[in-house]
Amino acid sequence: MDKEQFNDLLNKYKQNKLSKEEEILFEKELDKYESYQDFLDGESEKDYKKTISNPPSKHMKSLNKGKRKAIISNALMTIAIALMILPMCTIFSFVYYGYGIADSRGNNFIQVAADTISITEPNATVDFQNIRTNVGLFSMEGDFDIYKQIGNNQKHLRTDNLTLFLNKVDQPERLKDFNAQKFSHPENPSLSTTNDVNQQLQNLPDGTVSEVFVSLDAFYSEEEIKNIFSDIELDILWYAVNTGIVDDTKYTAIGYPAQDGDINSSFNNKEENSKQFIQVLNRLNKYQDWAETITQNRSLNINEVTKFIDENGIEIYGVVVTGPTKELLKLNEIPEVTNQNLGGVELWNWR
Amino acid sequence: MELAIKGNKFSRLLSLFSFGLGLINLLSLNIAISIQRNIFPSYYLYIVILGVISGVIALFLKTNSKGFTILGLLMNLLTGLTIICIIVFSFSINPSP
Repeated sequence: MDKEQFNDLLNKYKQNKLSKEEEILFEKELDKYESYQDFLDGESEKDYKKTISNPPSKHMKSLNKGKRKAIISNALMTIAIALMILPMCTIFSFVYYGYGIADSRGNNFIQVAADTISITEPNATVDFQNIRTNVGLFSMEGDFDIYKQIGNNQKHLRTDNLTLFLNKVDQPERLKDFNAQKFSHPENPSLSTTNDVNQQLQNLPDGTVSEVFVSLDAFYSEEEIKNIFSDIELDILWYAVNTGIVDDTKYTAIGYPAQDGDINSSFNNKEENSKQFIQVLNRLNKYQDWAETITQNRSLNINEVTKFIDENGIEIYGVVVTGPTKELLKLNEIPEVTNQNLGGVELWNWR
Repeated sequence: MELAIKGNKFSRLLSLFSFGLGLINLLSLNIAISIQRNIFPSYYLYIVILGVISGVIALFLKTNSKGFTILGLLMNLLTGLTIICIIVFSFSINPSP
């Protein structure tokens, strides 16, 4: 049977046009082809399995080589990109705190910290020559050495470690003892401790120098204060200024140093300290949050204080003085002095 | 043809050299930042510059691994930039200028 005959019969079989005998013969013919097809399928399956189980070794080698290369290059790229993260964060931190040179965030932080300490802690100064700063990841740390003057010498009080995390100052760890009221306001006089201080001063030996917090009966100007204490051999170190806040027991006294500080300090010899005090208040207005966290006093109200001082001028109601202990006993003879508190005492270091 | 193959090999070598230097530089920079100590030898900046130069040359020559060349160059540049930033801005943040 040739191909044409077979196709002709196949079409007739499909259309049911074959006679019974022809149909039986054709079905027998088809059975032969079925067994031939099964044979072909079996052979091709064997060939396929053979190809899979025994590939040529050359192909496999290059396949493995490519695979290894891809793994290594992926790993190297991942490592390289991972190593780039820390330097990029470091660059961000340094730019964030250092951009702006004199007006950079880092310098403002240092200045605000030093100013806040100077105006809220009586007789405390920051050693500007020894401020240690460190920029970390998204943060900046500053170590501030704080000194107080007793007699002629500066005594190291403590070291404050302040951290600025992005733009937020972390609460300092220290516990403030200077929150305790050291001055009494003329409009709200507290119980006088003058007698106790007198007793302490009398019992102290002659060769010592002391620091005393003196409260006055009214508000005075700087000149008037100097005249009041002109007969006693002492140094005036700090002025407590009237802020208009009278009855808040938690309120820290605000004031300014009487003597010029470091050239980099806000209270330097370029201008009078009273004028520099107003400049400092204006600057701290912008950084009230920082100042409140540094002093741990949420009711510092720098804004209100600045407004009050702008309207009423600088009215002094308290001073911190230092001098020979026996000389300070003469403070009792001054009628304007209403209250005294004894600060530190040191061995003789006077002119 | 032979020259072209040699050139390709040279650029691949340069590319690998730049990438290797970049990886070492970046790794040591990461360690230094993490421990906050200056662990760099005095010639460290020269190594960074060498890495940048070799990366730039490899980039201009024909190379099969352009991605690696660019990454190596980037790593060296980032290391240099970080060091410059740290030095410049450390001087900028200064309480007593």
